Amino acid sequence: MITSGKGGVGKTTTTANLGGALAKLGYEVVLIDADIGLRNLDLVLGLEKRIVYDVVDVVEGRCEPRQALIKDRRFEGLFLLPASQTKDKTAVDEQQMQHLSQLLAREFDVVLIDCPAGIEHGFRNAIAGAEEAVIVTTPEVSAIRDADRILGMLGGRRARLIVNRVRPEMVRTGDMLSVQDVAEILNREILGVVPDDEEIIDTTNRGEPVVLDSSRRLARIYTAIARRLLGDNVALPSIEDDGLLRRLRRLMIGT
Amino acid sequence: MQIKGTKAGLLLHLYERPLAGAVTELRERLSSLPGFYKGSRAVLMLGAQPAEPTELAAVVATLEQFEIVADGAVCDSEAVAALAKSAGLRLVAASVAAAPRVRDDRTRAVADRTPDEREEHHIQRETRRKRRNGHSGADLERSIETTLFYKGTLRAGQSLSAMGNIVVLGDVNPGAELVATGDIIVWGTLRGVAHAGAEGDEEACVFALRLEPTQLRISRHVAVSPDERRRRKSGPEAARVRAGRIAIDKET
Amino acid sequence: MKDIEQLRSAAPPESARDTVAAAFRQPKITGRTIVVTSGKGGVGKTTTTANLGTGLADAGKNVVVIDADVGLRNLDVVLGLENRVRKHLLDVIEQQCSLDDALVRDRVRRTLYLLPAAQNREKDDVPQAAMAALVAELATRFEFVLIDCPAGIEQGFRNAVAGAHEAIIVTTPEVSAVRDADRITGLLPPEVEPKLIVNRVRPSLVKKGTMMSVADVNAILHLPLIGVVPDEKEIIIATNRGTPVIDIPGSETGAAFRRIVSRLIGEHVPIPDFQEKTGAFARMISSLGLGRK
Repeated sequence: MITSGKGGVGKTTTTANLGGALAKLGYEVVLIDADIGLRNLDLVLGLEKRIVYDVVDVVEGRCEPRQALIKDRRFEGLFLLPASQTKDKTAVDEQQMQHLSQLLAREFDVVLIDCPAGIEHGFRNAIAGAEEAVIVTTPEVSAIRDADRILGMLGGRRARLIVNRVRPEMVRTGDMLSVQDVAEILNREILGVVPDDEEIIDTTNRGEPVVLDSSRRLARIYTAIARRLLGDNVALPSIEDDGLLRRLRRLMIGT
Repeated sequence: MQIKGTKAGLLLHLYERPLAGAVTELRERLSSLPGFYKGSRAVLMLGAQPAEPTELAAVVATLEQFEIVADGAVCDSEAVAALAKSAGLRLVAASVAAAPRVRDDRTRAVADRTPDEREEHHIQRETRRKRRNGHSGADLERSIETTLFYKGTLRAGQSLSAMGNIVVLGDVNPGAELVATGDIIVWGTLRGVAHAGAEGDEEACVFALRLEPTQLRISRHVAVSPDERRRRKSGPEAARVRAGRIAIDKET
Repeated sequence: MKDIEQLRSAAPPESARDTVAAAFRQPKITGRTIVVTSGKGGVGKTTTTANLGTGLADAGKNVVVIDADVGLRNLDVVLGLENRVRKHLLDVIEQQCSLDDALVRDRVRRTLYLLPAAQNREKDDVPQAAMAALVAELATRFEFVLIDCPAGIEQGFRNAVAGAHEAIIVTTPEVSAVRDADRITGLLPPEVEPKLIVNRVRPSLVKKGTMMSVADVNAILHLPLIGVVPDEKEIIIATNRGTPVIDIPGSETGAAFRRIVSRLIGEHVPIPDFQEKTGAFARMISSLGLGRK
């Protein structure tokens, strides 16, 4: 389960990219959009047009789970179970989520549940189906505070952190908390660190997850995180800028 | 078992088996408010799992006791569809089960006369053809009356369904949904999902001043918009079924 | 000491105004009740509420900002008032304390008050009618009541909207945010008048074609535009420090918020056309990725 508490820190983008990275590594992955009523995972993946059935249809028996799953043609082994746009979160309850999640877990290697923001009904539904949690936060006071609150609601589930939107230059000048700071405050293991990158906005708008292009720096980072998620203890790639750029900058500004 | 009230009447979720349990629950709930639903119509959501004909008959009978008309059934398998038909229930598509009715007696009369689906479609087609050929005023009036009219922008998460046609004076935003058994006309930009001819009318069409839907459905055909990011500025267009696929024509 | 503090921090008494109004047999003058909402989380609702509240106070208005995000409060942090929070919204609604006990007065702007959210409860705890009554009461004491709405479309949202007559929808120029803003607009009760703020605009990206323009956004949302706020790294620093960005000198974002405040009060302030700094050097810097992010 990918959650955060605070909205807008990058849960959905993370879910999409982690899912893609895992699929590229050869696993069979299903992504569940638990944000019923405000669905966004399909947008980020660019699969919105192909939605016919959604989670609520499955839960209410109007279709089989298989019919609702959308196969992403760009990634071998990646499937999406979309949320409903027209219903709200009371359309599904915790038991149904749990049942559905277990059902899917039998057919797939990994089930990633994209959690809605907040701590209301939707969040509780998403948790019900999850065995462990990945908390996404940014190095910002409000996000960390909300993440902390979420940690308290996980009922003993394993939780690891992804620190998103890190800007190394701001950490250096002391204007932003470092990853270490975040890990200490929340007292949890760091699963991954993702730098802030303008390109994410464009890729989300176009519905093309950044992991599609394995030459991109972000793609390598998400792949490493995906492997760590499954227990492969690879090192986290550096999030610093490309060395050439740094040298250029020094040349120009003289620092 | 859930009972949902909609503008069109009641939706009964009858997925659990054995159905007999639902009969008891139904009777209890209706008894607690005996006159409340009197005169309503109900659509039964029967799902895919078959049930005993006697159980289904019991459901219909219970409803009748409280003066609720069991008007149709949404069935997700052949077996259940057969069961429903033999109980005298009309087959209804899931997406229009909650549709607000405009000319109830006309559609009701059709249902009584022709329990067979194919004949119903025939009648719809005939009416539409008459309308297109500009026939008698009476027919024209009837077809105008079965149109749901909406003024304004239809926003993400909102949906309109109608037994008949839908006309929207405004935009239909991505994330919004239109479902009609007849035609759909959008006097604006259609960016959401539109499903015309939802009960099988292959002659239904979708018209918009700008046709940029996320997904277009006519009868059982589905079309997805091409992946180009910016479409050339195009004028009014209509989508129809031709040679088994959805085709788009420019309209003047 | 504490008592004097409390006395000083109490909101202006309503009795005088009531008497006058009754004397002229006019309806009681109530303040404007505005909910700041968005649907999608993280687009800047709380920052917007904080800055608008601060700006309105600077313009001489009596303002109260309510944090309606029960369980995940943040407005107090953004305003730098978290150390002064004693009682909160739920305490007032459950009548565990008076409104005056819970209101936190800003240190700098003496006409700005905060009604904090409860941290340790959940949104289902607040009955909608009680919220509406509370907002109505606050509207008799303040010229502006700003309600910071939680993300989402659940009970938290419905509670925050209860009692509001206007809404400011905040969105960023990004597909999911616009979609959620559209959804939320569709869910607003008909008597609530919506207006739009487009936040986190980056003109350089719009020019490049990788970001939606304000026109693109409103082609879908069809809402009256009340402001466009550019993105700056200063915002993060300000938020972390508990200083509203409106206070940071030279900040374009702060200036944008001030313009919105003026528009809220009724002044006609045109929305500037944000252009990236032109000039060969600036262009080179930005193409190397070194410019202001």
